[in-house]
Amino acid sequence: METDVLVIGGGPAGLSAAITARELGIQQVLVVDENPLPGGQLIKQTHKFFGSRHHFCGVRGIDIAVLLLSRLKQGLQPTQCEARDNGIEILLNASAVGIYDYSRSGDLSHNGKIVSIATESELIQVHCKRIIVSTGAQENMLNFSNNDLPGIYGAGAVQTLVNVYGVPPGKKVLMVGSGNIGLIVSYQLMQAGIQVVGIIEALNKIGGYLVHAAKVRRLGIPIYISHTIKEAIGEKYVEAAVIVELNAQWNEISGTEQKIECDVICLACGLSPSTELLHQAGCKMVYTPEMGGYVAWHNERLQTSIDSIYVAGDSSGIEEAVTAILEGRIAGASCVYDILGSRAGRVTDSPLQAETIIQQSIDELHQFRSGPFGEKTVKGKKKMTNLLS
Amino acid sequence: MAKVYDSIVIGGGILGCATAYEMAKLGSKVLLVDKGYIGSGSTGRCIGGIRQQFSTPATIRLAMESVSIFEQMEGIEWYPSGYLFLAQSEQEKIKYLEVMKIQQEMGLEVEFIEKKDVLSLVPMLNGDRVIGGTYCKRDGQANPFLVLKFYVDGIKKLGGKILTYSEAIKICNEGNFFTTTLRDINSHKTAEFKSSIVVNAGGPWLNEVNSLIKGNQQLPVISECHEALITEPTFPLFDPMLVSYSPSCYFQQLRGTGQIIGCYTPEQPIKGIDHNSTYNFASEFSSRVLKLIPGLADLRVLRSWTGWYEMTPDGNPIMGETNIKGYWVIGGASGHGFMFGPALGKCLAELICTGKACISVKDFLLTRNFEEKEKFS
Repeated sequence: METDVLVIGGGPAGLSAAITARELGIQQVLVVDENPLPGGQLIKQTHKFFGSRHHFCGVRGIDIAVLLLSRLKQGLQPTQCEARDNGIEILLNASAVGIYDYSRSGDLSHNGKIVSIATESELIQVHCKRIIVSTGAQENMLNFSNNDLPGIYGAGAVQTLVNVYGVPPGKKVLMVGSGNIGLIVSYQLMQAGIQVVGIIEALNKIGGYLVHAAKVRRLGIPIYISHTIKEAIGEKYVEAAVIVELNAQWNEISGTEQKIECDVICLACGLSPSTELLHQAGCKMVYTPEMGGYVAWHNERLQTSIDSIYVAGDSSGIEEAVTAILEGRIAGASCVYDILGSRAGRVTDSPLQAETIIQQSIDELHQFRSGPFGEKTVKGKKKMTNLLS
Repeated sequence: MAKVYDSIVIGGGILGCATAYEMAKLGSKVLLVDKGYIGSGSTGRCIGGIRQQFSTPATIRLAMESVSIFEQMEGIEWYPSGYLFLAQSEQEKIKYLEVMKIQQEMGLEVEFIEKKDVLSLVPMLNGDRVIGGTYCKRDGQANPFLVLKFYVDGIKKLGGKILTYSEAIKICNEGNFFTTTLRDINSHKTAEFKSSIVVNAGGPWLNEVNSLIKGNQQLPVISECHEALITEPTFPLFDPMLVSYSPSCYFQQLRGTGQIIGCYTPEQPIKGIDHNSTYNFASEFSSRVLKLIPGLADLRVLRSWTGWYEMTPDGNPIMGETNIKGYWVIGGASGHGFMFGPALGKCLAELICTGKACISVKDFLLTRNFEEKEKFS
């Protein structure tokens, strides 16, 4: 299989990158996603987004997914592999498992890459000029006794069960983590008629936006700050959790243990970028806690240390859907600039348009990150740049 | 002020670790250094097979000595899973029988087994073309990382010192002493160490280290890239390492984890120290394995990677003192460093510390004639 631009991960960043690349005149764009539905986390985000009107303010995540997908193609049927007449192909239930060079396979002249993609039944070889890795993130696990009991979920899984499939994970949920995900998922569980018995937070303050915290407090959900989970109790599945207060040094204060009855413990304690593929491909990796851990070093145009590989979205550093969409635009346009800009004598204004979109989106990202919640990302990206210079 | 050691061993792979450990055991105050972590070179990339079925008396003796050392090591996941060389034509059988005669003369318990016995050892094998195989049940496997850990723990216990992420950047030879300058990879700080002995166990970087010492000749070792692949764990399916020449590949199931791990030798040697793995290898290796054991088709591949064979002209290791007094080398094991390591390191340590090795090593000395080639490379 051959394509100009291969997008790995069809979430907000990947879809936005694919649309941008295609709209700027790239002939073939292939999006692969390991899930049965494209859209990444958007398809379970029933809440409305904040931000400027230009950036989906007031629009629900699920509707942003619909918007993006309809721009890909109206009435998209999520079939296994469907050739799109608009030049974008989506391959679902398929995982990119390796990125390789041409050089060792004998063809030294080709500077593109070979990507192996495992579908349910076969291994496909995709030859491409540029790769955008928008593989998102994975949830962090917490260490506590019995943390492998059935009934302990990541917040993403709870959201998928409830919001995508309409399946309740249990009746009484203890939420661990008061970041935006912990707060929003708690609210959505209550909306679905599932009781949230409490939200615990190891920090001495609530992690997420005040507006989300206020919503769950109005519903009467207690938020325990400076608390962590010590133990899950249960024979075959979760029956209760023991939580404990932490002192200023993050040590447990003995005697403050409380038992909270619940049948679900939902972990919303942060995300780590999914960067295994980038690491395997040989990209220079840098450790920046502000961005969630190891990320592939990248410049403002989201190009990694390997010329033909770009990143976008959470896999380039943990943020959220709007910045992922903006990053997707930058990465998509950068690929266009690379591919079309290098063809001497070509009569087209695509590279120029691409450059405009890149600069515009970089500016928008700066604006978007200028608030207090963007501080961490700005610091992280700066640190990353310094690490290799 | 430079710190003083009796000997400095450069390279924390199996050869460097075994040599440093055995020297420490013989009373030498050793410093072992590596520019990466312990096992960051070829040893950490090898698939952990240990065999004695070689084609020359010297290599057979060396491998037998190694196995007797592996058998005594604690906590290394040593398991005598055996090696089975599949005979798939009469010519192959004849070649195996010839070599088997030499092996048996050396006292190795190896036998030619018929097809039905091959199939009882590996029930899932596609036996269409198999007519039999040479089998040594005392060949086996061990976990390379645990073997290195065994040595590292031993070196520390014996009072030796280990410095990782420390690259040797300069070695001065002044009279009876070498002054080795090490640079910390992270902080770029340098420090000097004095010793009367320097052992170069640089693996794929053997000649790079060698070039730090003035007046020494180039060593007859060239690195080649070999890829390997490992699957997800599965139920215990078969014990021996299977070696096949058509299709050319070798693989085994790890006793500890149940994973299938293996390699094949590229038709055209890929020279250099390249880290990258290729799509071709992953798919080609898988299809070769499936020709032999079709039942593995549903097993998923976890990863593939590239390691390095340090090749000498005759496929046998080099060891011994160079033309510079006090400067010793060990390496060039041509893909057999892990299995030869314990014995080769022990022999070199004995040569350095006592002047005599427990087994004959004249065929591995730098001064040998490199024309007699190992048949089972």
